[in-house]
Amino acid sequence: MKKKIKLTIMSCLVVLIIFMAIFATYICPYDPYEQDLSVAYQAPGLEHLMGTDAYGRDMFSRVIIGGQVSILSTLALVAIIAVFGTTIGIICGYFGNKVDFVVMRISDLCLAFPGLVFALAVAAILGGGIVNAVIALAVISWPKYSRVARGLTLSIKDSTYIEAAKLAGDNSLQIICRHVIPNIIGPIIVTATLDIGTMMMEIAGLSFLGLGAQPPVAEWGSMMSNGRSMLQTYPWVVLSPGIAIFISVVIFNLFGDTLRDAVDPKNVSQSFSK
Amino acid sequence: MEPFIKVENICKTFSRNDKQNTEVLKGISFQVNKGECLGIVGESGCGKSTLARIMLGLIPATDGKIIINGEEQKGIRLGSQMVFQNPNESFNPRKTIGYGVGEGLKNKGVPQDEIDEQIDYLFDMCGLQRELKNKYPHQISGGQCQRAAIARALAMKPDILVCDEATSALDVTVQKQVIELLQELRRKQNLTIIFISHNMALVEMFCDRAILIENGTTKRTFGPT
Repeated sequence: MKKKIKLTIMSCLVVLIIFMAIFATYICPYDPYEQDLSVAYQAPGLEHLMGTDAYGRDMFSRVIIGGQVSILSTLALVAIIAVFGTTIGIICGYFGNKVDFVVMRISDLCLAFPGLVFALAVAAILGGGIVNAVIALAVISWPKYSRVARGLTLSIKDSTYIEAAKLAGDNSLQIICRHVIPNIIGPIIVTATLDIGTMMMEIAGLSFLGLGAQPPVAEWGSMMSNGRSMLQTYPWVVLSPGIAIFISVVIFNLFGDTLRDAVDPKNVSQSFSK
Repeated sequence: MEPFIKVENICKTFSRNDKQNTEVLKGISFQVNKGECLGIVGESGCGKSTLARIMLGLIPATDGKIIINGEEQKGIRLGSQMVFQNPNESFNPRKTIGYGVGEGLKNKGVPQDEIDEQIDYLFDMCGLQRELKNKYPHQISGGQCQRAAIARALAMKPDILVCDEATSALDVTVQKQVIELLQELRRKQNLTIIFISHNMALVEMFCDRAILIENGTTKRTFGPT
């Protein structure tokens, strides 16, 4: 019961964040891109909840609209790499042989190369923009999932219940869909939710270097980077998007943990032995 | 009379690399008649389970052939089913027992309502409460799980049932119940049973005949030839 309540609360918070990201334009009290130098660097107050930046833009509105780019691009990125990496990992783990050898060496190469530098190279070739930043990060980030999925698949592919499924007439696709995926999805979900924060920061890093979100587009990472020189003088310019990232990451992490507990039948009900 | 199962010169070598080969089975041959119960005994690691997996088509033999009902076996044969050593591990921990029992029927294209009926029938036959079909493997006891594993095997309407140490993980009372169930099923359904065990007394009590495997070869045959 406690777990159900926790899952409901975390799901509501995640839905709220995603809802805010999708309908950001309708929630913003001010135009996030409208400049008014007469109110530049205004401290947080009733009029501007999170203060204003160097151009007098309302930070609260920019944080909300920034979430649209940050959260949606991060979710898209994590979804792409999780699905692609997991699929590759399962294929390699289950079928093995030469495909496994070749794909795993490619993933070793990706893992051995400094991630952000590689993403920079890819983004530089593709050009600036949030879509290209997502593609660049996807190119280097999928091996983590393929490694996890491959390892988990290898650990269960010779299990007795897989042999039983073969004797029941399951083909390889049915075994993967009915038996492999349900048994490995928990750790993948946890990895993906824990990855949301990292990916959010990596997208922000690329934006800071001019290869992600392009000005004047509001994006949490680039907002933090732009305001870093004002940390001591006008801290709200940096702290507002920072707190938004912090809260989002914590919520997604807690959601991942709760979801893992919820989908595991061993945690759902009391074991016989207990 | 032509034997129902003919195992001819089965060899199995596991190779980790070119230099390190482990020869587990070195030419095993035997025959089993329809409705007969053959015991396969031998100490741990002698290749009993490997032989069972080869007979079911789960792993290929390095050499030799298996002829079942006049046809050479290639790959998995749905008419040959297995009851595994560790009952709880033979069911997917993420799926209910009912799902596991009915999976083979689903693959055969049987409608869901008929599958449910069949599961109830099989549960009754194996002495399991019908409510257990909605339970997960970790929620039921080893004995119940082994009965469910027998129900799953019977769902495929097999003519051959391979029991690989099917009672070793169970306590003595439950062992007796499972053996009695197998005896009853054998009598009712004329099942050909390959009973693998390292418990000689159990094999003597349950099987018509037995072979002893030692160092990958058939060392002795017990009972009528």
